[in-house]
Amino acid sequence: MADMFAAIKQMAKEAGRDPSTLGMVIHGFVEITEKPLGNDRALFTGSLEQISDDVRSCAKIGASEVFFDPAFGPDGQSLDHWLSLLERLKGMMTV
Amino acid sequence: MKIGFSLPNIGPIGTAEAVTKVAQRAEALGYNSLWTIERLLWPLKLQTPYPATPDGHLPEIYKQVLDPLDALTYVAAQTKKIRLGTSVLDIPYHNPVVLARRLTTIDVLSNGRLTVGLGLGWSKDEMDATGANMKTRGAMADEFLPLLKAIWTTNPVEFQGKFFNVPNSYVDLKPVQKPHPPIYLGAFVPAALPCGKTCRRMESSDATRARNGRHVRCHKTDGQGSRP
Repeated sequence: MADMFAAIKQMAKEAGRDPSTLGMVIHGFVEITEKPLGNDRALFTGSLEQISDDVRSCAKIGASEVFFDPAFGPDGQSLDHWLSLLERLKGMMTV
Repeated sequence: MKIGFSLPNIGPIGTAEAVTKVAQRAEALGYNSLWTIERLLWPLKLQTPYPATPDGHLPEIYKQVLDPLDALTYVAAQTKKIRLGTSVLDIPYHNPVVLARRLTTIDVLSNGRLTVGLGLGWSKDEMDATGANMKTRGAMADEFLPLLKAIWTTNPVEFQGKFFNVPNSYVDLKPVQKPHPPIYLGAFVPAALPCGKTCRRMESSDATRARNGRHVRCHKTDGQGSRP
């Protein structure tokens, strides 16, 4: 993702645009697990602490925003699950 | 870095109650934004694989989809501060003049809260159904974005292109955000996959993205599970 963003910034520069005006929003498919997962886990899937690490990594590579999407995960069609995740993930705003 | 949340417009969860509750709760908790997805069809036999799943299958929840812009308009009336975004609208399915009016309407009714995420699309089935052309969609997008910006920033508007022509006309309805709402262009990132079909697809749209996108939106996929 970092490489792609860098490549796009370079192309923007070559097209005569200021690369610093580019931002990146990351659409993250989220799934919280009670126990931490192994290193082969997908981004935004794992314990809250692991998801916090992912959010920090996104900030580090210059992302301007991450948004969480529970629709495709377990219970992704349950409104109660969505409302619960909204509460559980609010701490990501201060990571 | 800001944190947002999806609006539930995909799958059976897409009801008035769910959309309202998620939007209002997200706003109350301080989330920055809400986002909707566009999907038109769930073909029984896909002509092109879905780039966000490793095996190319289309998740079944895409069988039932609330319109991404109508859902945002609905939510605009029930919230006050939270931003409203599309992630993403597929350019080939839309006429730029009609879409510009719909987007501007949301920006006006939400008092400047719209973020426009656009993509080139990947589904030949949906392009066949909407009269779009898979092969020329990149060139079409190269006209679509300048025309969208022209409608938002000039008056009268006049545009002559290969795909679109607009006779010199007044379009007084302009976005609240100046010069126009932020635009993001979509890309899939197959983090765990070797560079294959998806990467080539991304490259084909990179030139368009670099020229026209004010921002870049990155549609993250893990490349491992069966999720988009």
